[in-house]
Amino acid sequence: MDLCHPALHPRIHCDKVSADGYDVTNLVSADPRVRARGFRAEYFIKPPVNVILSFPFHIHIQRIDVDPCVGSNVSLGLQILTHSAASVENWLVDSKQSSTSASLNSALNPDTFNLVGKAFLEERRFLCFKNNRYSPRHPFVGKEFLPGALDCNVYETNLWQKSLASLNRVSHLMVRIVRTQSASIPVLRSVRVYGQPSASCNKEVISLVHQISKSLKQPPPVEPAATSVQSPPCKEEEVQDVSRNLQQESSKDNPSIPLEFLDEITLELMALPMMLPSGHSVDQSTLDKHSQSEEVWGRPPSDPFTGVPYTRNSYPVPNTALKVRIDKFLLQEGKHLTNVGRTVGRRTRSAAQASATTSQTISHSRTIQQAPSTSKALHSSAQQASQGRINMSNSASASNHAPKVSELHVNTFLCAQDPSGQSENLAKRCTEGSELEPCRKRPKVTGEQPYSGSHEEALSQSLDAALARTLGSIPTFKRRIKEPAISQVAASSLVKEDNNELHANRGVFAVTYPWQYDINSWAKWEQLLQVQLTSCTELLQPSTAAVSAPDVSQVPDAGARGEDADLYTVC
Amino acid sequence: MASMQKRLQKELLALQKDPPPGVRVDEASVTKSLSTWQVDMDGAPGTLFEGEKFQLLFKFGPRYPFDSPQVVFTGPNIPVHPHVYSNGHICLSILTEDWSPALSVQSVCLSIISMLSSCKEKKRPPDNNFYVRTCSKNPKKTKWWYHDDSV
Repeated sequence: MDLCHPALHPRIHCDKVSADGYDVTNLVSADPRVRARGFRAEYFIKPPVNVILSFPFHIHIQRIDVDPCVGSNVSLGLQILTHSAASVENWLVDSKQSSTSASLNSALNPDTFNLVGKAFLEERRFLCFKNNRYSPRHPFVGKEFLPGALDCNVYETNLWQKSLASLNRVSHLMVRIVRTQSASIPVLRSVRVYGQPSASCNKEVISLVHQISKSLKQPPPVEPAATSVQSPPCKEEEVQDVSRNLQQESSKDNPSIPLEFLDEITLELMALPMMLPSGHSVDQSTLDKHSQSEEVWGRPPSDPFTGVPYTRNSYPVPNTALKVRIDKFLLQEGKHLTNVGRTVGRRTRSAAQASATTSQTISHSRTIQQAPSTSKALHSSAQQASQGRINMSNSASASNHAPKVSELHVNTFLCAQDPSGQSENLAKRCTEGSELEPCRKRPKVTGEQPYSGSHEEALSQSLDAALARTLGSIPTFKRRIKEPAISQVAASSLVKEDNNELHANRGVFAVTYPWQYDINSWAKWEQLLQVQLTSCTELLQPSTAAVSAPDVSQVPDAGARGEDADLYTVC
Repeated sequence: MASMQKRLQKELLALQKDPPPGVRVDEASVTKSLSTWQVDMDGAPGTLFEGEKFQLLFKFGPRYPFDSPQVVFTGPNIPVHPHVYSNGHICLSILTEDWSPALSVQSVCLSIISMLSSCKEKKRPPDNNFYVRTCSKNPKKTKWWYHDDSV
């Protein structure tokens, strides 16, 4: 059974200062939420740190589970030491003595402890110390008293029995943190001690403990803490559940962001987490705003949590470890997070919408500019598509007087025009088209586009612009090479080059798949696409309409990033 | 603005769930607008204000966690205290220059309760009449002179 269960009132004590909210008593707290927080020493504490558990009776240890990771902090080197006091005050039976025992804890000399186990980890892992010589005694025999099975990613090691008492008759157990990961603070997420009351305990104690453990097991679904008695993996789930609950309370709109990724002051996901001298991590933007408001009072920038001004030796530093974890989280699970600041991952939905709107206006103006020459119109439509911001563009041959579906918008699909509108549009285009040169200014258009939010996009835009500038300064005899080169570069981002070979009576569809949306919306979208295709092909040459739509099963999984584009031809 | 909303929502939840003793948020006032809260407060037992009930009005500006909220006593009963003016204005340093974004509604409430609790004699501030006649509606516009560090 779990001897650290709060119902048994184990006492815990640490010889070093704990950080606020991460007191060592969290490890045996009855509140699962507090318990999930774990223990963290104050940020200036260095190993060794001794955490001493004292039990109300002598215990026989079967197994000790230790989770040495809290947030990004990991304790890598741990020692287990035990002490066997001649007599223990049983505060379970006699509650009067409770006041004096705290002083006993602090008076304990670490020299009286025997080393029974140690472990040095290489990475973040769960730790398990086992006593191979353990055998359960009546009345603690039975499955319900066995600790749960372990995960595969657990570092297991054995406990040594130096003397009979060192594992069989333990009154105090010390977990000593001797090493931490580089620059990490000594931490313990949880410590579980499994075993039974020692043989030397009197019957009264044994029956009491047995009663308590029985009562804990009967209503496991009612009391969440009780489930943790049965198995450590359950405890992990419980921890996750608790933190999930907390997150749901704190930020309903982004329910799955772990709390530690949120700025403590603004509760936003941190884009650039900075570690303050007080040990808190907040975003750089928060610090900037805080410094600004401090300036109003004529004060130098200071730690918002303590009010202590920064000095040459104590100032905020980038919390790179946290940043790495936030980035990893964003890349793996952040695709649904729309309105968070980020430095990695693909563009967000809002950015996609914004850029789609921009492209709509651009492509509209370009549509007007098109000369009614077939090849040029086609070329231009291919280029529109290649801008990568047009979700669908269908430019039917102008000379055939076919109605023109200028573009389809991924979100609205409103751009299919009714025949009257089309003819009007066509007429307008024909009148205006004659005086305008087609599609020569493409690189400039790219350069002028507003910043649309996504890093990738901004990068490709700036590359395009830089290339255009460079090529523009090349002497004139290279002009002939210049133009295809630019269009090729522009086209290569999305569309294959064979656009130019398309014939006069073909429509070209460049479709940009919004992979960041779920499959349902894709299916709906595809349906709409089909409708659009049929409506325009009927008007073209209904008998030979051939539309190749992609197989829905080939939709890349969520991890795949980057936009895919296909060309459809309607003959 | 969004950040302020998020933060206020979190604080409201925390305050409703686990309020400090003698503090209640008037939910009706919050449902109208998240930027104005009314908080009911009881005088702490064992102090001069035991059994009295007060109301605090919090107004949050758009820069909220970085800018302190406006906090005044409101309602029929305004505590008679050397740091509370009869128009409800409170002379408390964390409400203006010692504000920190790490503070919250809860910590402000606790500070006010503690300020009231440490009172030894019920009296108005010495310059009450003059201040009430001349002051701005917004207590944050007052240049406070914090003269008593014992509270």
